[in-house]
Formats: sequence, structure tokens, C-alpha cells
Amino acid sequence: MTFDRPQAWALLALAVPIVVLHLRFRKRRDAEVPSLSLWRDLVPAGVGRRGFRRVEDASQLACLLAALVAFTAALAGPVTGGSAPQARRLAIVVDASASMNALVPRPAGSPPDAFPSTRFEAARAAALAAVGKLGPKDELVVWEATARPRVVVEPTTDAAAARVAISRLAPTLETCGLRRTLDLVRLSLGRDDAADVVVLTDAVGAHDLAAWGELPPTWRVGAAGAPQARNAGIVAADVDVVGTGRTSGSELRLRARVARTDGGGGRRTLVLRSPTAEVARADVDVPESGSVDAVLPLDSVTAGGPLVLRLEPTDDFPEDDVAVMLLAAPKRLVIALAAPSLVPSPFLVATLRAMPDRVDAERAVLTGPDAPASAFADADVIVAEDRLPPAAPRDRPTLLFGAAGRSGSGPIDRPLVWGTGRHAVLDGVDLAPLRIDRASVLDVGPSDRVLIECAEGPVAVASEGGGVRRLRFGFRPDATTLPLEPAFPLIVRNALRWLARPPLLPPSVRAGGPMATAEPVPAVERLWFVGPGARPPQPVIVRDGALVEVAPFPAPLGPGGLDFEPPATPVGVASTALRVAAASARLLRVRGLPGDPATAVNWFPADGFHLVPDVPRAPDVADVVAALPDRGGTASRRAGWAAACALAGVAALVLGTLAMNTGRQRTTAPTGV
Amino acid sequence: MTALLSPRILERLARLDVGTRRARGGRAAGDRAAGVAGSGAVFHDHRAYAPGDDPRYIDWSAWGRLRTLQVKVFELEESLDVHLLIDRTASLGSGRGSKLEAGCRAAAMIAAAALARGDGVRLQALPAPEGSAGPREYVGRRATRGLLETLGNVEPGARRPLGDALREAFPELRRRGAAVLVTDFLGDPAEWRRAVDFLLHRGVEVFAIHVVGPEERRPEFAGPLRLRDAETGETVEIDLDDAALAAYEERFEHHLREVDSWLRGRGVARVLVETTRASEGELLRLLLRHGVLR
Repeated sequence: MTFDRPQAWALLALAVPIVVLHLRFRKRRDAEVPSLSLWRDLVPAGVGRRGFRRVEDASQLACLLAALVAFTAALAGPVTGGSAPQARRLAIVVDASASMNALVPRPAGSPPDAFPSTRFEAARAAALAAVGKLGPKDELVVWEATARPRVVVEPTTDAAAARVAISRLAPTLETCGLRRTLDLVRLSLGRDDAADVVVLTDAVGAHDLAAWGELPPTWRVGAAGAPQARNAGIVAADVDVVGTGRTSGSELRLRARVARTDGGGGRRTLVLRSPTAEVARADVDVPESGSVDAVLPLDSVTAGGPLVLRLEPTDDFPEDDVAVMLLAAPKRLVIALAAPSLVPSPFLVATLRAMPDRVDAERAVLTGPDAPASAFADADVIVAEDRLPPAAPRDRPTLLFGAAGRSGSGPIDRPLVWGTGRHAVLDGVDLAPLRIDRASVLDVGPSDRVLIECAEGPVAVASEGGGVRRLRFGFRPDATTLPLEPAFPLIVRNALRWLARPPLLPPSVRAGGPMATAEPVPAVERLWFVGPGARPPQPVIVRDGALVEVAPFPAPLGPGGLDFEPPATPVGVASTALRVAAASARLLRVRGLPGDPATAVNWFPADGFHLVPDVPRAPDVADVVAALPDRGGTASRRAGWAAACALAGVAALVLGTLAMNTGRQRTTAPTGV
Repeated sequence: MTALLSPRILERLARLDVGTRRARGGRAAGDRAAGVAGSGAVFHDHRAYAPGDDPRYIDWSAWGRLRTLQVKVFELEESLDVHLLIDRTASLGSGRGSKLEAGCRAAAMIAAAALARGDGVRLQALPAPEGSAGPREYVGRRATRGLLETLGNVEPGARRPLGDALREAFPELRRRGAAVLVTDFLGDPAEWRRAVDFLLHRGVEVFAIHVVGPEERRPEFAGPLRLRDAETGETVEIDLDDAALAAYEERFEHHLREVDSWLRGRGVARVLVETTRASEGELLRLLLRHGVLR
């Protein structure tokens, strides 16, 4: 047995004054009494106890000395099994870079909770194990190694507080600033060459260590996770617009780009799935460096909607193995044509038949003015002449020729008409050659937009309300020269394009560019944007793909997420969008899109991932921590012996007190001595 | 005036008298009825006229009622000799508080009452100090100051058995009177019994002032002790625990009862004075209650 503080044995010198004081106080004291006559008969009883009193005195002194020895031993810090080590310093460097998010392959057959799931969890578990090996006076400091190194546990001897702080550590999406961190650690340790330094990293970025020079022998580097990082991710995915375009019936294809970030190359498979079935798949040979492109056909995707592109099998970084996108695929319109006496204008019919890319002529319906509502069930747009059938649903876009005029005014013969400003319906249309035999002056509502007017009033009006668009012309095509003009099919095409609003969601988004949601702002009350990175995306208001204004920045919800509420006032056709800093996000999930609240959209960083060369594999973090000297066990043995000595001292004091109380009850000093 | 008694208590004592059951031994005529017929002023009795009687003492009122000549007999009036016997042995000086002072104060109160009535007071410390010429005598009210000063100067310290000291101080004590014995009745019982008997055998009415200190009733020391007799210097070692203390306290109470019983058997009035309750007022009430003063 050895002692931490052998100088504490000097306290045994207190035994000398204890013995002296004991003899002094246990000496028979003199007391004067007026007469001994009354005391004389009591003397024999006292004399009979004299021998026993001596035993009591000796036992009290023995107990006192035993207590002194025991307490001194407790202070000396007895240690068994070797000499007690001196207090040392331990610095733990935990790599919290993005690569520490990588999954750790589980051993076959192991339960899910019995193994750390990521490299960072393995490093954190190793750090906690290292704290358990600290001695009671060992000083601990914990560093977080990222591009911005910081001390997460200030130098302390409080192991419990250190455990709490380490448990709260979380990986970041930053790069690994291991070299800079270790430089700071070396500066903080100064000339303490005996300090233990444990570096827990996944060896990504460990090439910095080689450049930093040979580490001192007390510095240990542990690698978390697989011996070598494995990752290849989808860095770009977009509908190829170079081909025949996004027109119905044309060929569509998806071009995806896969790049390796960590580990060696290999053969992977890109699988494209719709919500109901697999759309396409393509094998890719991921090269050692650089990237590879793959093209997947989209012919079977005619209705658009969400598509999931997945790189299989997954690797250490599953979050960049998937890209979810919404594919915009405009459908052909179903036209319900309502004509008096079921005889439509031949010019109108011919025009509709001339645009098969916009109008599904085979599903068109010809009805009369008294047609039931079921006749318009499948119609996307209702085209009518003279008047709208009463049974026609009011929530459908409507194109009405020969609309009734305002009340009290009759038809106007040969009016001179002109256009009023720019409108999508009149885009590319020249009204100068237009001649109208008879037209009606139309009523104009507050939200109506006059397209064509004459001296007496408007003769063509576009209105929009309740999410439905309507076009009214105060003349029939047959009563004008319009069918003879090239502008007529153009007006009809523009009218149908305007009436059936175009899809607003682009097929994919790229970092740095706006991503518009599927619905206008007023239609969506709240959107949830959940993405990685410390900096949340910036919501903006866009109109037809152009930035209008920056939305008020809401408070973030959780790491990288935010709760976005659109502006209170409607902004017309504007929609919400996000602009994400390219370096801060890798994946952005958008929740709250109509019809698919779990829809996610990949958000690809513009600069890709950092590529690192392979480095020699360091020992596993668990092995590195296991090699640390277990000073906690020594401390417990020391604490156990010290506690035992202290308990023995207390017991000796109690025994001594009992012996003292047995001998006498009164301690008042005698009077008259 | 000396610190023993205040002027106020002296005025009150001047109206009191020593509570002797019989007045004896006065050397001069006084105002105290001697209990026998004499030439005093206090009517004592009638007797039939006899030839030779002074016709001035014929009670003519009685002749008018009885038609016989009756002579008034007056009681003899004489002064009282009060012997103050102050035990100044070492036992009176030990312990907390002064037993000697308390006893002297009680004796001074009795002496002051006696002097105020013209009685004579003889003060004797026992044992007598070296060079002492015997008891000092005080007569009359004017002697009160000197008596009190002498009483205040009595110091303890001498070690001598009480009986021997008494016999040495009063070898020729024949005159009867009253004796106030101030002592603690400790030590050898035979000694103080012999002293009391010495006084009683000489026809002296004895008043015993029994002085007790608080530490005698309940000692304030414990543990291993070496007890030393304050008078004889004899030492005894003792381990004083609770049981021994209880035995001592019981023994002391028995001793008090034994002293009281013995003195009462001899017609001696005993006043138990505790030093913790020895103020003037308390002592006066104590003396009045026991009939030492009246």
C-alpha cells in the first residue's frame, strides 16, 4: 500500500499534545471541602472503582489515538496495487464535420440499439468512455473539430458535467478543421508534454495530420466508422429540356449526375420511381474521381407528379442517395362546346382541331344550351356561343362568344374596335384588320380586364375570380372577319392557355435558384421547410419565376428548419419559393405541398462535396480509448481505502465518547480548587 | 455604619428584643423582667401583707374589694448578657460565598437588638485570635458601631476544634445569659456537641446559627478528586460519580436532620442560614420565625 499524500502522516505529531492533555485532564484534581466527615463513608466506593477507572482512561486514550491514526491515514490517501498517479490533463478532440454523419455498418445479427448508428455516435461513445477513465483530479477539456473549432468543455475536473456536455454534442455540416483544431489544442496545452490527447475522427481530413508532422506519443488518433468512407451521391437531376421539349406526346428524359465523394468507385444503380410504380433504372459506374451522367426515359410519365430518384444500394451517406422532385406534365384539355341548336361555328371547331397538343379532340363534347350538368363533368374548359348553358358548372374556365350585352343597350353595328394594352390572350394578335358586323357592349366588373373595346364600350373582357378565369367576347366569330384572319387560331390558343393556368412548379431546383411551390400563395396557409444546415433557407415571393420580394424571415424550427407563413395580402399569381445558400444545404425537404404533404425536393449544393484522398487507417476509437490508462479505477480504490479509514476514525471517536460518558456524567470544574 | 447591617435594619432591630425564654445573668439592673420578685417596675403578683412590708406597696384597691391587706409584688428587672460565639474555623471560610459573613450578619442582628435594649454583648471569635485578651464586651446602644466593626473584621482561617476553643475562651464563664453560637456544625460531632453542652451546663440559653453553603448541599465537582479537609488538611481520594454524589447529598441532609434533632433535644433554638439566602430581610424573617428575635 502506498499513499498519495505521505506528508499527511505528520499529523500524527498531534498524538503528543493529545496524550499530554489527556494526562492533564485525567489527573486527580484537588478540591477543598469544609469537612471530610461526610465524605469519609463514600471513599470505599470510589476506591473500589479506581482500577476500573484506569482501564477506562486507557481505553479513552487508545480510542482517541486510534481515531487520530485513522483520520491521518484517510488524509494520506491510501492506494493499493501501485503508486497513486499524479493529476494529468486529457484533451479530447471530437470531429464534428459533416462526414461524421456517415452510417456505421452494423455487424450481422446485432440488435439495432446495440451499436452506434453513425460515426459521430461512435466518437461520442468513445469520448464518454474516456471520461470514465479520468482520475478525481484529472483535468479534461473537449474540443469540437470543425471549420470553426471551439471548446465545448472548458478545462474541468467535473466528470459529470463533462459527460452532460459531450452527450449534447451533435455533428455539423461543416468541413473538418482538424489541423487547425489540433494546432489550437497544442497551443492550449503549452509545454505539458505529459498531457493525453485523444483525437476522435473518421479520418476524413486526416491528411492534415500527415502534413502537421509526427504526433507526440501521448497523442492518440482514433478512427470512427468504417475503415474508409464510402459515399457517392446524386449531385444533379433535371428533366432534359434540350430534347423535344415539354409538350404532350414528346419524349422526356431525366438526366442525372452521380459523383463520388469518399472511398473508391463502384457500380451503382439509379432507380426512378413514381408513387405507384418504377419508372426507369440505369446502372452507373461511379469513377474514382469526377462524376458520371445517366439518362432515364420519362415516356411513361404522362401525368407528372412526384418522382423519386434513388441511388442503390445506399452507402455511408444515405441522404444524398435520393432525389425527390415534382415533374410538371401539362395535360391536354377536354373541351365542352355548347352551341345553339347543336351547330357550332365551323371556324371554331376547325381551330380547336388544329391544336391537338392543347386540346383532346377525341374527348371533346358538343352540347346544346339545355344540356345537363353531367355533360360538363370531364370538361376542363367550356366553350360556348351566345350564352352559357345554365347547367354549366361555374368553377370551370369559360370561353363565351356572342355574350349578351349590358342591359338597356342594343347591339352595335360595325363598331370600330381596338385593343386595350397587353394581355396573354392577345399576345401576338393584330386587331387592325378586324371588322365586326354586330357586337354587344359588355358589363365590366371590378376585377374584369377589358381586352377589346369600341367607342360605346368593351366588347371583350377577361375576368378572374374564385380561382376561375373567364373570357367573354361580345360578338360571334361568324359575325366578324376574325375567322379569316391568322389571328383567330392564335386568340383561341392564347385563350385556352390563359384559361388553363400553367403549372408553376419547375421540375427540379438547384442551389442558389428559387424553388416555387405548386400553388399560389393564397392557397397554402403554411409551409414547412425542413432542411439541414445551420442557416435556414430564405423564403422569397416570386411571380412567374421572377423574384418579387423577400418574405419576412420567420423563426427557425429546429436545426435548419423554419415555419413559413405567406404574406397576409394576396399577391396575385405570386407563389412562395426558397433561396438556399449553396454551401449550407445538401438536401431540402418541403412539407405542406397540396396533395402530398411528404413531398421532398432535392437541393443540390453547387460546389458539390469536398474530395479527399485516402489516408492510412487509424485505430478504432474504441481501441484508442481502451489504451488510455484507467485512472478512474485507481481513484475508486483510493476513495474506498480513504473512506474506510475515515469510518474507522469515526468509530474510534464514538467508542471513546461512550467510554468517557461511562466514567463520569458531570464535567463542571470544582470550586475552590 | 459598617456593611454588615444597614441603618434601616438597625432602626427596625431597635424595636425588637432577643427572644430569650428566661432572662438571666445580667450584671446590672435593666428593663428586662428577671422572672423573680424584685424591685422592678413590672407587676408580678399579690401576697398577703406581713409585718415589715413597705406600706407603699399595699394595694388599697384590693383592700376595698377584699377587706384584706394585699401587697403588690414587682418583678425583678435585670439586663441580659448575650455571648456572641463566632466559629471562625477554616470550614466557615471554604466554599462559594462566605458562611462566616452570613453567620456574623445574623449574630449582629441579635446583638444590635440586645444593645438597643441596654443589654450587654460579649463577642468572642472561636478560636480566639492570637494576642486576644478575651471576649470584648459591649453595652448600650452606642456600642453597636464598635460591635459591628469588630464582627466585620472577623476572618476565618484558624484550625481548632470548637469545643477546645470555647473552653479556652470562657474558662470562668459562670454568669448566665444567652449565647449565640455561629457555626456550620461540621467536623467531629463530638466536638461541637461538647461545646454546646459546655454552654448549657453553665445555664446559658443557646441560640445556634447553623450556616450552610450551597456547595455543601450539592457539590459542583465530579470525577477523580482529591478532597482536602479545610480544617485539618487531611486528604481523601475519591472518584465522584453520580452514585457517590447522591449518597453524599443524602448523607448531608441526614446530617442536617441529626444536628437539628440533637439541638432541639437540648432546648437549643437552631436557625439554618443558607449563604445564598442571607440578606438582611431574609435573615430578619428567619430570626423572627424561629423566635430568636421578637
